[in-house]
Parts: sequence; structure tokens; C-alpha cells
Amino acid sequence: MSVSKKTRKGYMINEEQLLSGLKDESTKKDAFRMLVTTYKQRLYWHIRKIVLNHDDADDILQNTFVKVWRNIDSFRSESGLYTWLYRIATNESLTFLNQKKKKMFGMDEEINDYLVENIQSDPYFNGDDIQRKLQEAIARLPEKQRIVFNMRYYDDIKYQDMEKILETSAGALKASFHHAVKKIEDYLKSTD
Amino acid sequence: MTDNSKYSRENPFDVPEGYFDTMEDRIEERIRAEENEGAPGQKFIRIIKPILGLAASFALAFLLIDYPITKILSKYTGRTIDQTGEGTKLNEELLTGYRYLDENTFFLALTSKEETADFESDEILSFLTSELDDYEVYAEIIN
Repeated sequence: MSVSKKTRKGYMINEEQLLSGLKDESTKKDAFRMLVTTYKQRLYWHIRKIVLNHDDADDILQNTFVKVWRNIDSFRSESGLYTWLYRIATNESLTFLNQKKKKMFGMDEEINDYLVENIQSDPYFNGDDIQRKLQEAIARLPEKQRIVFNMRYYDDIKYQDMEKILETSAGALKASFHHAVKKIEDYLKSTD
Repeated sequence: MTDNSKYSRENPFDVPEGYFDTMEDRIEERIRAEENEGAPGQKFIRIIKPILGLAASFALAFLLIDYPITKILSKYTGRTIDQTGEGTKLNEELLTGYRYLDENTFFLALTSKEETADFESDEILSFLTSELDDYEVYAEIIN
């Protein structure tokens, strides 16, 4: 996600407009449609990088927006619409992976293998071998490190925003990112 | 990472063609479907439907299994269904009678000594022989 000052300022304006539209029953439907249009791609890619499968990402994205629609009246503006949406999307994705994990008898290694298999069999993977190897290295990371790495490396989300989305301190997030980078480097070196 | 130029930050994943174009419509459709599904009348029907189904299957099972079995068994035991019903009725009456005793009456009945009458041996003999004719009395004495 590009979070340059200009773009972020743009989001803020849109958020205010969207929120006032969502709170008014007469404009709620149109505002919600606008919200979906504004955030669908960013949320989709955030979810897709967690579950690494298009169909699963599509289901989770729809669940996310349905949840947003149901709970928009109880949303308190101080937490920020964009962080709230990301938090719902992240929670929905993690719930999905936990359900998968339960079916696999709760083994973390097995869920990582499942994610690697998703990359290898993904019909919508357009990267080269180097990118595939990088994605496999990311898929082998522990859950939290994987999410932090993707949000920072690909989406360029600031730690202060990540703090609100993942409800973790900036220090812990930086440590997670550092560990993730180290593990990816080790994996890439070992497979060279 | 060690060699950043080698590992680009470009997204290597893709989506089916036109996937994002119809997103709004699909989400609206789903919300509409869920809201219709959750309408009060339909929700009640949805809850009550399996219960009614279960009740109907129990009734059917009773008719198909219990009734013929009772009918067949009654033939072998020589008792009609009505007679069986009477037996049940009698049991119920006995139980109900017992139930209507209050605690004190019940306790009194348990602790009170039964009144026993003292009978003379002649009286006992006359009672025992009351239904016998003279010949039978004579035979009993001889034996």
C-alpha cells in the first residue's frame, strides 16, 4: 500500500466522506459501495498474501465486507476506518488458517507446507523462479512474522499503522520484521 | 535482504480476468441473500422445520413398528390390546391410591401393629371343613 503523505491525506478525506455517508440511512448503501470500490484491491492483496490462494482470498474478502456492513453502526471513528478494515481482514484470514490448522491436527509445519503447496500449484502465479523461491521462504515463516513482513515489504505500511491493525507494539513489530528478514536470508542461502 | 535487486517487490500473484470489476455486485448480492435468509418469518420456519420433520418421523416409526408389534404380541399372549390397557389402568389406580396417602398416614400404617384375632381351635376346624361334605371329613380323619 502506498502511504505517502499525499495519498494518506487523500484516504483521510475519503474516510470522512465515507463515514458520514455510512452513518446516514439514506446514503448508507451508496457509501458502502464506494467503500468496497476504494478498499477491495488493497484488502484482497493483504488477504491473498496471508492465505496464498485466490478462491480462499475471495471468500475471506467477501466475509470481511459482510462483517463491515453488519457492524458499521457500532464502528467508532477514532480507530480509523482503514485500520479497522485491515484488522477485520487480518482476523478473518487468521481464523481461516486456524480452522485449516485444526483439520491438520494443529501442526504449524503442516500449515506452512500447505501454504508452500498453494504457491506451487497456484494458476495465478506470474512470477519467475526467484520470486517463487522468495514466496516459499515467506510462506515458511511463523504466522505473525509473515504478516508483518508482507505488510512492511510489499505494502509499505508504517509501523504506527501496523500497531493499530495488529494490536502489537512497534518494538515487537520491528523485531518480528528483523527475524523474518534473517530467516528468509538463511532459507535463500540454503537453497542457492 | 542481501541482494535487493534480485528480489523485486513486485507482486508475483494475479487474479482471474475481470475479478475486481464485479466485486461490488457480488458483495451486495450476498448481503441481500443473507438479509432475506434472516427475515423473521423465514427464520422461524427454518428453525421449526427440522423439529417438525423429526416429530413426523417419530410418529411414522411408531405407526410402522410399535403398532404391528403390539398387535402380533397380543395374539401370542392371548390378551387383547384393551386388556393390556386395563392392566395399565389398574396399575395406575394402585399407584395413584398410594400417592394420595399423606406422609403421616403412610408412617402410621407402617408402624401400627395389625390387629390379630384369637381364634379357638374349634372355630378353625369348622372354617376348614365348612366346604367339605361328611364323606370328605371322614376321609381326612382316616388319613
